[in-house]
Amino acid sequence: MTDHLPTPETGDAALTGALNSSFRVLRWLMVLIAGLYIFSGVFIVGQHERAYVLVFGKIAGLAGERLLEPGLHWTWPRPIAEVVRIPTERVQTVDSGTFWYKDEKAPEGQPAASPGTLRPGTDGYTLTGDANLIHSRWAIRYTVIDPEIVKFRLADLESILQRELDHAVLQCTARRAVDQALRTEIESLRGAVDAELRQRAEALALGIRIDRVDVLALAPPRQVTAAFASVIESEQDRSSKISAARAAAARSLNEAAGEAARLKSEGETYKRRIVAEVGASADYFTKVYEQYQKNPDIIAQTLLQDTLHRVLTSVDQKFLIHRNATGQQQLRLLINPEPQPLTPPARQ
Amino acid sequence: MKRNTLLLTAGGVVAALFILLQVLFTVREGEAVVVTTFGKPVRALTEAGLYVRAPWPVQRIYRFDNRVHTLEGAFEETLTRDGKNILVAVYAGWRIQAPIQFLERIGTVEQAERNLDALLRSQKNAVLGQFPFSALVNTNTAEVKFEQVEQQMLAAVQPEAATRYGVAVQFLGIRKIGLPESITEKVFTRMKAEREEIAERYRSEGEGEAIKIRAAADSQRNQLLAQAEAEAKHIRAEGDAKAAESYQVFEKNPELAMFLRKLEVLEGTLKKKSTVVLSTETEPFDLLQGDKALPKK
Repeated sequence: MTDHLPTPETGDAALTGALNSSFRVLRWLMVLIAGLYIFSGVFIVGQHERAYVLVFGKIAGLAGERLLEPGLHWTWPRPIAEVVRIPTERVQTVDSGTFWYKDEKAPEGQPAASPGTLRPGTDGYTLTGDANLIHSRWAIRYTVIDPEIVKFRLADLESILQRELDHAVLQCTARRAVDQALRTEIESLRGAVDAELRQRAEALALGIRIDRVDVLALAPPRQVTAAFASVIESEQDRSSKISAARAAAARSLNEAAGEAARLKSEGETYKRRIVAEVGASADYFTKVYEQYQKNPDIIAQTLLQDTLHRVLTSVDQKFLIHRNATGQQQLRLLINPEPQPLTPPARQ
Repeated sequence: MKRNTLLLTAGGVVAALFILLQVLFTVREGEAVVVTTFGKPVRALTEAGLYVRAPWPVQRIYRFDNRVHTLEGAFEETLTRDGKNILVAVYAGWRIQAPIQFLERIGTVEQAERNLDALLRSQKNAVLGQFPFSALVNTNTAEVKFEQVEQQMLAAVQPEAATRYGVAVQFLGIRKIGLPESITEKVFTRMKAEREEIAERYRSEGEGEAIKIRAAADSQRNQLLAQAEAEAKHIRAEGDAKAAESYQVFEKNPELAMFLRKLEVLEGTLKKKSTVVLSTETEPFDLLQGDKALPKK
């Protein structure tokens, strides 16, 4: 029996062996943890982003080399260092609906009713220079050019941009009449807002480049939409009346030009004809005159009889009236006779 | 011995980390930190980096976001110099200028915004009361004093925000201008009346313009035709004058000339579809009278 009982020496050896194994495991565990810690400092900067590394809170790297490009990088893990990612290069957009109204929910199948007023804080609008009200919606497209400013100097760039956009819209609208803002000078208004916003962004050093300001929508208040439509309609009516008058005027002038040309042409024709005719008569006279001088009676009679012959040959109806026994000649003409009623042709 | 060394190293590392965490702290970019000793602010740090402090409870640190924040005041009524009741909302960009003062007077960003809102409101009312409504809204751009109004508000807010709260107001602007709800209804009535007037003007302008255009065209047409008629008359007169030159030859025997002319006219006028009534005494129809027409021997 005693052979199977452990001696104190064998117990110490077993404990020592167990402790040695534990320390070995612990040592390897420490090495593994240290390795994992070092490896956790590896990070990737994506295609549409850049990154800063803050070492003990401060941006690491020399000026001009602080911004890390896309790719694989390593830095000390937390709490020594921290990676701050920033979206860049992509054009970003901020919309503003501050000056737009809130649509009322209409009952099923019915159009939304237009309220009689605009509620402050709910329905947005701007005042125009002539104290009218208009609604508008705007958007800015911008690119970040200095991420350090955007990330570490400004708490919320979009919030600033939205307010600056509203500020620019308010200022530029307040200088224009309602018709200019809504119809005739929309592009000018957009350009003015764009210019004002660029100037403010530069003055405030926001670290961005304004690419473009867009007008998404411009409209009169719903309460006066019909009145505005009536103006547009009457303007078109005016344009169509003026266009019709211009067309009629052009037509009339063209006709007059044609008539004038015709009159001149007739004058020219008359001139040529009369000159030719008289010339021909003169020639004829000269030729006849030579013969006439030799035998005036015969020439005259011959000419007369020849003329009568030609004339009477071509005449349709010829009447010869003979003097009666009393020496009188009578000719009775029925002038303007009563129209005879038409009689249908007799049946065969 | 080897085992003891390993244990001591591990324990030493853990102890060192604990101590370092107690005495070291960082100030991050865009952050302001105030260090207090037994509750009294002793140091303000705005430069990013690693700093040392006495461990808690001796020293404590307070962190603030030191970036530019935006604040928007309420959209509420105010009076202009000419007594117009309007609604105005003003926004401002601010950041912590004096962290210790900020900690002592305010303590949090939310509280700072509440205090700044009150300050903005009072200065907004004071400044807008010095300007007429037309300085904000006017088609005559020379009379619009937007920038001046905003500059005056900013100049009034900045020193007070700095001395009272340790805050620098960096920019300020008017974001919204509106009218009380009841007034908007009256504005709509006016806008409708204006639109109707404009619509009527357009209609009458159209008719007037059309009449003018037609009248001008008629006048031009008449002028053109009159000119053309005059020219045609002149041309005909030229023809007559030139023809008259040929008449001189007729002076040799005017009777013969007239006789020939009559023959010409007779032939020219009596053509087809004419009816001629003649006496049998007219030559050569006198032949029909028998012996009377025979030549005398």
